Amino acid sequence: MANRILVAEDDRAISGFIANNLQYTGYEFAVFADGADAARALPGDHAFDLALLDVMLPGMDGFELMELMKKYNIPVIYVTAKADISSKIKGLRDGAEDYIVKPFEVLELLVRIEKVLDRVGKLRRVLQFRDIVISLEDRTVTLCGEKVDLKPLEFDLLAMLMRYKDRTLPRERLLNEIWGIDFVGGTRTVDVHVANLRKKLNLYDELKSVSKIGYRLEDA
Amino acid sequence: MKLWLKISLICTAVLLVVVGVCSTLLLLVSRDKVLSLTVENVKAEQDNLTSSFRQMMTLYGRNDLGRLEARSLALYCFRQFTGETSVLTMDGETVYSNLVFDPGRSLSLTDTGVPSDCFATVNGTHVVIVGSGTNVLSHQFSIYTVQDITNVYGDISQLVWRFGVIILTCIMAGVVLIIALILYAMQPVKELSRSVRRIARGEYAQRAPVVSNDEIGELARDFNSMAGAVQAHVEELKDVAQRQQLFIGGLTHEFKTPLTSVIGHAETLLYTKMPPDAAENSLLTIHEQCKWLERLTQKLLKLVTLQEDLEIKEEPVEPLMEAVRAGTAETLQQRGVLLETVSGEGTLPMDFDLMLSLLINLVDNASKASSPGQTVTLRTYGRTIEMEDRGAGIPAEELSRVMEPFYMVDKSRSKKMGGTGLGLALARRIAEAHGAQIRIVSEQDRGTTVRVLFPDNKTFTNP
Repeated sequence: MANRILVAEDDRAISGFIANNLQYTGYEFAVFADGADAARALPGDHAFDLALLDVMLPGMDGFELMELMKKYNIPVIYVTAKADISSKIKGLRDGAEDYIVKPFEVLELLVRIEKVLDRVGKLRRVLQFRDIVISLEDRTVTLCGEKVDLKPLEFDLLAMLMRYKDRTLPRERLLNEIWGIDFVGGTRTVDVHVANLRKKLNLYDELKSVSKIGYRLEDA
Repeated sequence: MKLWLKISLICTAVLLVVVGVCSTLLLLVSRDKVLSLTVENVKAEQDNLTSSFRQMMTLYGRNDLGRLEARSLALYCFRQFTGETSVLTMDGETVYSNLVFDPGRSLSLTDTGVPSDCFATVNGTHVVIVGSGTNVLSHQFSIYTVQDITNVYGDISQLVWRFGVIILTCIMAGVVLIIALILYAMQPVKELSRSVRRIARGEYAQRAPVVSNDEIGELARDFNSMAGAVQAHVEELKDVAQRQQLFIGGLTHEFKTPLTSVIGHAETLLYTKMPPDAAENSLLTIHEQCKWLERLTQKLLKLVTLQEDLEIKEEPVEPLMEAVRAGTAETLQQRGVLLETVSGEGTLPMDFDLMLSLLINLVDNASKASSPGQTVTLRTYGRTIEMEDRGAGIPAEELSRVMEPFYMVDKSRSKKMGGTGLGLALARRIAEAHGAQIRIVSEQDRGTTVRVLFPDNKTFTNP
C-alpha cells in the first residue's frame, strides 16, 4: 500500500509541482492551502504517514499545526522560505523530523521524505521492477527468483533507481546520496556502476542514459 | 599631569611667593623697628651720661687745671655716672674703659668730635656702640657707650622662627584647602567625563547631570544637547537600517516563493515523463511565475530609481484622469468594477508619469477590494486627489502597516490577483517625492478612501 502524505502549502504553484512529483513517485496525498482547513480535516481523516508543512500559512501556521500532527503521530517535514536559524531550531525542537528551505530541489525533497519514512518504519522494504525484486531488509536482489550478487554500492544505486523509476536522476545527486558528499572520485564512478548493473541484471534497454544529466530506469 | 594637580601646584606656588615676600618684608620692618628702638634707648642713656658728666665737670673743674688733674677729675666724674660698658677718652687718649675688648678696633674711637653709632659683633656678641663728643675745660672728651644687644637679636631670630612656623602651618592648611576646593570644583567635570565615556560605549540615552550654573554647567548642557542630537541621529540610522533589513527580508521571501515553483516545475518537466496536459500546466505555471517576478522587479526598480528621473511641473488634472482611465480599463473590465472620475479644471505640481503610476496603483487596490459590479470613484478637488471604494476595507489595526513594502492585508487573495505588496509602498514613495502625503481612512466592509494631499504652492520645494 502506498504511503499517504499531507501537504499544507498556500502557494498553488508550489503545491502543484509537489503533488505531481508525489504522484509520479507513487505516493498518495492530500493538499491543503489553508492551515485551518487542514486542522479541521484531520480529526476525520488522519491516516497520513507524513506531513509537509509550510510555516507561513493562512488560517493556522505550520508551528501550530505541529501540535495536531503530534497528537495523530504524523511525522513532519517543514517546507518553508524561512531560512533563519531560529525558525529552523524552533521547527526541529518542536519535533519536526526535517526542515527544507525554499527553493529546494524536488529530488532532495523526495529523498528526505524517504529518509523520514524509513526512520519511522513506514517505508516499503520490498521494491519490484518487472522481474527484479529487491529486499531492503536483508539487502538481496533476485532476478526471476534467482539471487543476483551485487556489491553494496551497486545495491544502493539499484534501490534508488527503482524507487524513483521513470525519473531522471542526475549523476551529482546519485553521487551525493549513495557515495556521500565527501566522495572524491568523479561522476565516472556512477557510470561504471551503472554499466555493472546493466550487465548483471540485463537492464540494457530499461536503464537509460539521459545525455548531460544522468540515468533513468524506464518502465515503458 | 591632571588639571586639578596643575591648578593646585600653581595656586600653592603663588601662595608661597606672596606669603614669603610679605612676611619677609614684615620681618625686616619689625627688626629695624626693634633695633632703632634699642639704639634710641642707648642714645638717651648716652645723652644723659654726657650731659651729667659735662655738668659735674663744669661744676668742679676750673679752666686752669693741669692736664693730669683734668684727667683725674674727668675719671672721677665719669665714674659717678657710668655704667660698666662705657668708654671715656680725653683728647684721643682712653681715660676709662673696662671693656674686655678694644672698642677702638670696632670703632674709630680716635675719631673725635663726630658722635657716631654703629652695630658690631665682637667675640660673638652683638653690640651697639653709641658715641658723642663734648668739649669741657678746653679738653675734647669722647664718650662711648657699648650696649650688648645679643638678646635683642635673639628675640628677633625667635620672632622669625615663630613667624616661620605659623606661616608654614598656614600655607600647608591653605594648600590642603585649595586642593579640596579644586577637587570639589572639578567634580562636575568628572561626572561629565563619566557620562561622555558611557555615551562613547554606546549608551546613547545617557545624559550628564547639570549641577551648576557655571561654565561647567554650561558645558554639560551643551554636551547634553549634542548627545541628544547624536542619539536622535543614531536612532534614525538604526530605524533606516531596520527598515532596510525588513525590506530585504521581505524581498527575499517574495522572490523565493515564485523561484521555488519555477525551479520545482522545471525540474519536474526535466526529470519526469509527465502526461502532456500536466506538462503544459507546469509550463504555464512557470510562465506565470516568471511574469510575476518580472512585475516585481519592475516595481522594485521604480521604487529604487524613483528620485533620479523626477521632473515636477504644473500639469492640468484632466489629462491625468484620462490616462488613469485608459491605463486601468482592462483590469477593471476583468474584475467587473466601474471607475468614476470627478475632476476640476485645476493644475497640480507633478511628474505626470509617476503620478499616473501612483493613481493606477490606487485604482488597482480599490478595484481589488471591490466586488464585481461596484463603482470606485477617483476625484480631485483643491490640492487633493481622492480614491474612494466601497469594498472590503482595511482592519483598523492593520491600517498603519499597509504602506510597508510587501505588507498585504489578505495575502492569498492579493496574490491571486497578482499583487506584489509593493503598490502602496511605491505610492507613498511617489507622493513623498512630490512633497505630498497619503492619508488612508477605512472602515471594514464599508470601504476605503485614500487621499493624496499636495502641499500648498508656496511651501512646496523640490526635495
